[in-house]
Amino acid sequence: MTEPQYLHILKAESELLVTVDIHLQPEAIEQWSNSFYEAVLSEDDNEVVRAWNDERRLVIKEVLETTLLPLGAKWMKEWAREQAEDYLAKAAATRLHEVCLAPLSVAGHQD
Amino acid sequence: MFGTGSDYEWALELDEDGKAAVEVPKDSLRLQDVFEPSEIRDRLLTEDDDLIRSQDIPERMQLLTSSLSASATVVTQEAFRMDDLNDAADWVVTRLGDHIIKKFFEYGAQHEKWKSQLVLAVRTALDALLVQTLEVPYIWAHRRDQLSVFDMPRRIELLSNDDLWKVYQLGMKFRAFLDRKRGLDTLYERLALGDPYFDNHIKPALQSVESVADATEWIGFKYKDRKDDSLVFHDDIPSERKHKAPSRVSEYELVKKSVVARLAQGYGMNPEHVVVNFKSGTRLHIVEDQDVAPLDFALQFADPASGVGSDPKALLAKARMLIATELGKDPLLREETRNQFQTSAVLTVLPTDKGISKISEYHPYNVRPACNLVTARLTSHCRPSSISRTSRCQTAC
Repeated sequence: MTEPQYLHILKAESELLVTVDIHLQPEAIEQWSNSFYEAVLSEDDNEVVRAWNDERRLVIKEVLETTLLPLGAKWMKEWAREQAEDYLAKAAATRLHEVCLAPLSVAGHQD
Repeated sequence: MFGTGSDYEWALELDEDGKAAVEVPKDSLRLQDVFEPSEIRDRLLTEDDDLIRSQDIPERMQLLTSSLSASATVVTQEAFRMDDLNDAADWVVTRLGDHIIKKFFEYGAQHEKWKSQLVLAVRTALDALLVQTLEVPYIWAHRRDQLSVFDMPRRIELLSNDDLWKVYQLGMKFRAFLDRKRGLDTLYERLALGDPYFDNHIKPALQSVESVADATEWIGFKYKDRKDDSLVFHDDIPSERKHKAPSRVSEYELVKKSVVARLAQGYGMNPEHVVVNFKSGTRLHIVEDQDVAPLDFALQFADPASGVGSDPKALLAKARMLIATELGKDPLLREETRNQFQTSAVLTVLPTDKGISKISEYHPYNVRPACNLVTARLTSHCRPSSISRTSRCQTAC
């Protein structure tokens, strides 16, 4: 895939031709939530604590699914668009620079 | 043949009087009264354009985006102070790209010994661009020596032309960031919060426009009541009052004021402690456990009369929502989320039914061949991190 293709994808999305979905890989989500669990779970091991830890896991799951993941996806989409636009603008600028510095070319004349 | 010579007498008479025939008082008629707004915009005669004309700075430097785009916005030209330059240089130099990091900052890098000169060069460039408002090509043509270091008889170029453009772009971003950060600081001081979590954890991590926006939202969320109070006492900011806060109370606020808030405390998950633990990767704050199981604990708060219901499971769900909402507002977690997406986000593109019929092989939006690249890792020179893209098609794959 080339960079400007992302812009095409977004354009196609606005014309309802494709659906675009940005998400984290399942392994990444799992790894991420595990480090979350590390921060919130109690280390004791008995029936009551286990039940509470399950509750805490549900909280983390909820915050990821309802807030953080949609937020990240939305941000990423815009960020990637910015990058793609910058890249395209850069490519155009380079081309323009070349055209400006190129020797005069006359239609029909070939060297 | 030539008439009596009196055809233009009226004009001569006026000259004698010394004033024009139809004199419209200047105040009463404005361009807006006569012409369509689109006409005015096309001829660059709007108030924004007047503002741009009045300043002795090139237009392209006063607009955030290209003047070719319809949504070009005027930059707030707050003077960029000299003492901001050092911060700006530090901020910009770390964002210049991998090649700069490799060349100057890695251990044993080729130009490692020149890294302080590099920061100085960036500072000089920013000074020329933002304070003296010079152009990138001008600096490249006439000030290049200041961006180089002389290791006689060699001259080592610290910043290339491309880097200089990047410095300009990042400098503009830093200015916007600084502007918002000042706004946040003012808000924080005005509310006199003295929040240790903000001072110790959030403030040092403010590094981007997004994080400042998150922090502002977080303050508004955590100190909602305080914010309302202070607005009453501050008569000097009438503009903020215009935005009337929505009177609809969210479910979160309803629950927060009920007994469920006490139930949520039973989870032993203070959002701020959770984030500190998470960020540090250690258990700085120990989780407190209850003596009884969650359902039994929730039963203690079950009170049909209070309006929160008596089903312990529903109560626990509300408590979870409460904690999750608070955690979701945390600026540090949001920053972390963005980092996660930057390193391991996947893009999936699926054609809709309309797309399947419309996008042919020769259509410019032909993304179908991309479905052969099931997971193509994409590395490009313009991105610090790669985004891997998975493209699936319902038809072809």
